[in-house]
Amino acid sequence: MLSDLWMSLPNAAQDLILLIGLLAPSGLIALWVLHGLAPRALTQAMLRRYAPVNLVFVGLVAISVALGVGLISQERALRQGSARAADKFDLIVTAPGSEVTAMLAAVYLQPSDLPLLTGAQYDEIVGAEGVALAAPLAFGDSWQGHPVVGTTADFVTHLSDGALTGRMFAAHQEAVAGALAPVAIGDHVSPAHGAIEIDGADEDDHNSHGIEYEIVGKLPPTGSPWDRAILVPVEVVWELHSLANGHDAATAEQIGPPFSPEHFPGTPAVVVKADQIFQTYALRTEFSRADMMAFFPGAVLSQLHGLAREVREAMSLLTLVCQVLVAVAILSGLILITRLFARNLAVLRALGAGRRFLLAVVWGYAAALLSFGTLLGLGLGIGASAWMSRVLTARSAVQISATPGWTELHLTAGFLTLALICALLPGLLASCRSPLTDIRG
Amino acid sequence: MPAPDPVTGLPLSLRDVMVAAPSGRVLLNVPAIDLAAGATLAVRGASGAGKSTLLHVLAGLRPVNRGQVLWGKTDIASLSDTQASDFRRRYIGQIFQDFLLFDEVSALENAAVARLFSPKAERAAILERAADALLSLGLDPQDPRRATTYSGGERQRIAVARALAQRPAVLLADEPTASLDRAAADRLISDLLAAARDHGIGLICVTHDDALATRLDRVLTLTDGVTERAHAV
Ligand SMILES: Nc1ncnc2c1ncn2[C@@H]1O[C@H](COP(=O)(O)OP(=O)(O)O)[C@@H](O)[C@H]1O
Ligand SMILES: [Mg+2]
Repeated sequence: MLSDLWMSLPNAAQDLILLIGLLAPSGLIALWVLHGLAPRALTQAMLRRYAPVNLVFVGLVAISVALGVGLISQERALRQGSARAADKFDLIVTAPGSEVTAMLAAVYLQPSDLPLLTGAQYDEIVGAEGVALAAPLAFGDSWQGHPVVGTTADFVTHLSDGALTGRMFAAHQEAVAGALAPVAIGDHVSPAHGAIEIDGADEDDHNSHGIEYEIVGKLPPTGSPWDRAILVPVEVVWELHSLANGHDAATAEQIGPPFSPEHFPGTPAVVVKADQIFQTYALRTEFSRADMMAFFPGAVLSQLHGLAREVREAMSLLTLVCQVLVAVAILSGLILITRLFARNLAVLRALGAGRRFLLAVVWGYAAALLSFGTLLGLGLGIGASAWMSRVLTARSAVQISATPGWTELHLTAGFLTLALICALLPGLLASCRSPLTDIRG
Repeated sequence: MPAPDPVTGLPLSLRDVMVAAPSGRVLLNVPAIDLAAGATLAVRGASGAGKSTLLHVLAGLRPVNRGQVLWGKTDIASLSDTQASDFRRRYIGQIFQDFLLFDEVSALENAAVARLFSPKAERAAILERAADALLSLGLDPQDPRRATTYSGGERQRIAVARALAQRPAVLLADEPTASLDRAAADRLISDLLAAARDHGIGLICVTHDDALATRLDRVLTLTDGVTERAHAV
């Protein structure tokens, strides 16, 4: 019954309730320790007396929390970013080989030497039942480090989700630029042969093809490396490499399908979209055979993420060990520092404060340090993860955005509550000391 | 301004009090001490004679092996830790040789420290009494300086204000002038006596200072934990 109710709640409500549940013990402890007492002034005095040491404690807590938060948030950002980048690629058909290599090449535009599918094979894919889109790809050119990829207008339309600025390429020397390619509509770019080059390298170093594309359209951001690419008619890429252009003499100037199997120079990968989702599965089965390979990039990614999860779990364990070590070190430090306040605390007892007041002062001191460190760590972790995401996005062109998630909040809340429970230890030790021994000095 | 505090001294009577160290050595052996409410008493004796031990027993900080320590009708030696704390908070002010202030906070914060662990209803009054006490001791309650920046004499006066802020029935002072130079000690003696007289507070003061001892109502001398004399001087 209760679990049904729980399951019926929206995710955000479940997460919120869990967060509150994780924080609740902290609240109860604070209530129990502090009710009826006002130890803040003395807690502040304790914070001030060994301020540099206290700052070191805060820093240590912050770093250990930031590690955990950053790791979780970054791992999720990577996972979501790479999955989002593969969104537009339902099914990929290639010649037999490594799915991962093929996926890296087709989805993430990593240069690689893939065996080619023939014109007949391509023709078979196009003609298969339920195929809505079967786009050949042609790699191998670049412009100022940006891949120049040959494909069909249909595929560019598919990538654009109907939000193309300008228009589709319609002639041989027209191109559509990805959102992150540093060109505007009307610009001209001359591609060079060769894989992705270093940005800003001298154009003369390249093996220039001696032609120019005019940018006629711009894609909206897709979050994938295709955002950096310049998309051109596949025929032109083939021609530039002295290959047949996919069409027979009668239709030599045509752009886009249908292609003539006899004049088809081969493609390393065909991106397939089915009319209906369920047909995608049938198509995968159909083309998974001796001379072809068909796979869902999403599924391959899941496998990779599965591997990454084990790495993440190992790293989580390490951060946990790190946090425990930091916690033990800090707890010992707090106990030692509290001992340095023994006479001050004893005099409070002599003046009539009860044991719980000492507990409140010392717990407040430890709790303030730990809470501040934890919150700082949460901020640091989110910040570091956002920074990492920017760096990774810039490097890989996979749009990776680390947004704070519930998991980090839950982790932080759990850590905070544990920390506040542990903070009772120095407090209890202080409150149980005999004021007499300490007051004698 | 609230009405002046009622005079609330408490008579003291010790009966057959014995305190022994864990080793069994007798630290304190007092057949009887009687002191009227609001009276002042000097406790003298050589170092190690048990003077501080006696004050700790009076404050309920040290358990006794035997005997009664009666403040009015309350035997502080028989109270639980919590009850004894509460009793100290309400009736006993204490002053120590080395002041024992919180260095990081102001004179007023130190003097009014008891409000931090007193019931809400009493907090405002404690703060007000602390400020009044500081003023009457020649210190500025508004001064935000930390306690460390004050001279020894001033710090001990802050400690006196802290004791008075609790409106105690009795002040227990353990060698309050021992860390002060002559001038500061004399001033503190006058201040302590004036405070005791003005508020009708009893004063039990451990001291080696003749100037202080001779100004109190009675002198008690301890030798190896045993009372020798407890007569009017
Ligand atoms: N907890 C204790 N255990 C054993 N001996 C103690 C303890 N506390 C005090 N003493 C001893 O009791 C004697 C009296 O101490 P104290 O009351 O501080 O003397 P005074 O204040 O007169 O100098 C000293 O010999 C001291 O060493
Ligand atoms: Mg002593």
